[in-house]
Amino acid sequence: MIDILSINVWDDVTVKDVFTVILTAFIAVIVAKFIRVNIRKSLKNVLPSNTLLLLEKIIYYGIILVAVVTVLPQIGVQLTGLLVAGGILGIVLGFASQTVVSNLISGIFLFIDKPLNIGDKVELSGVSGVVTDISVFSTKIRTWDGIYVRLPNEKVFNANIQNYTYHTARRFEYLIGIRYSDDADRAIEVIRRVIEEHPFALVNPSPQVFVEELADNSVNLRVRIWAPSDVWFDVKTELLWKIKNAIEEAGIEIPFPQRVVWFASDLKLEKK
Amino acid sequence: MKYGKYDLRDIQLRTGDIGITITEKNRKIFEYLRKSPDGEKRLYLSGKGNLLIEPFPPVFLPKKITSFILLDFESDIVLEPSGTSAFYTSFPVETGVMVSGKNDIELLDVFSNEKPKYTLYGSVEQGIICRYFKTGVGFEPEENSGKAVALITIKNRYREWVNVSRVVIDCSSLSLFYKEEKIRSGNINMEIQNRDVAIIRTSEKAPEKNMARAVSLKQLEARILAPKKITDGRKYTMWWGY
Repeated sequence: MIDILSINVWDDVTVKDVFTVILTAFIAVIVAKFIRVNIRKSLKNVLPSNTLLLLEKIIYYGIILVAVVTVLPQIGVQLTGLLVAGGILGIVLGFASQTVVSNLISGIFLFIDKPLNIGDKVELSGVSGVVTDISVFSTKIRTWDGIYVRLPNEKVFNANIQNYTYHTARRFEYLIGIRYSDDADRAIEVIRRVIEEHPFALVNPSPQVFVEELADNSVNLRVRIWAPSDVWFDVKTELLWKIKNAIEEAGIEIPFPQRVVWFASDLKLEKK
Repeated sequence: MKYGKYDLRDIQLRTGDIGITITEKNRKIFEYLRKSPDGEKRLYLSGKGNLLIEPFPPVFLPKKITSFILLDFESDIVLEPSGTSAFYTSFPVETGVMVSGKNDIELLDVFSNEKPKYTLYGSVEQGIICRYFKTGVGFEPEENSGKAVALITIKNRYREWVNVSRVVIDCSSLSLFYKEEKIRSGNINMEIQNRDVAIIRTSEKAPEKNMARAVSLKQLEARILAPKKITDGRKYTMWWGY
């Protein structure tokens, strides 16, 4: 009986070698598909769809490439030259893509760590605004004055991030000065009433209004209010003017800076 | 104000300080005017249809930032281990005005006689913002205009006595029912698990017969926050309102 597997196809390459290569490639495809499906399942809630798709493709084709490259010498394809060339190309590409890879890895860590989400109001690397997009390589921010800013993910990952909307509620405060002749208790009562009337000045954590300082020109009242993070800026801007109007309506005044001067001798004023 | 479906014609309705007037200005063109102490809302309706006035979950005013409400009881309820207690409470609802016709509904207006107030339930890091109501508890349903009556059943599954002072309800799963001026919410079940944790479940069933089901928060959100479609280069789509 003829041993078909030992038949030479070309040079020293037998049918068995060809089958080995085909079988290896086939197994590599199956393994790659299996890993791809599992990665998709486990990371679908962690990474955004476009990032996940890119990662899936890199892993899928990477596995197949490694398997094929490993088995090719079996059929006489010598990759020594290719490896040397590939090595040099790898070094060149490595240097060239250092930043890109760094941004990619930072991007993946950003998706896992989640220090910011789309729609968050943030300040990072001297840029302040709303996050409009987070992709694999960069984070886009619309600044408060409407400017589009693209920050590489590496920079975002290493930056000190202040996320103003990460928590559900946020506190803001005012320092309000009243005259020494005014009744501070009455002023506190008026301010509390104004806060109570505002829908988004939260009931809990409760607002605080107290005399903080007997200052040079005024009795200073500290006002601390919690508001939902989404609307805190609106509440802050609305309430200050309402408080100012309410305390003035109650006959309480916000004093101007003043200085009392004492003269060593009686001051004589001449009336003309 | 009687909730329900009205033919689109000259109408005058009133609830508390708020008045609604529908006036036919031209053929098939109606003026909707809502006057309330904090201002008025006027818009024009063109076409045939019905006016739908229904109780809404109280999370839309002054703008929607949450779907949760917190009922803070005026009197605490102290419950024995493994005990069950049921009582009635009520909370103000908002009134939604919609126009319906040709298999579609459009939201026109939301208003309320109540001054809205919000609170934080839980920690600053992980808590939720809730619309806040101070509410009484009783053993008979107390009818009040503009308020939904809810039957709350508390089951204490904990081995110790518990003190219940508030309940948080997710309005996304809360059903409201109405018949003329009467409003009921689906029954609310509160299961105390331990000293800190309680599970709240709301029933979809109408608590009384012959009551109409109001449009749900989920349906409203699907209508208000409808997914945006992709445009092509030959037309301009006004995505941000018209």
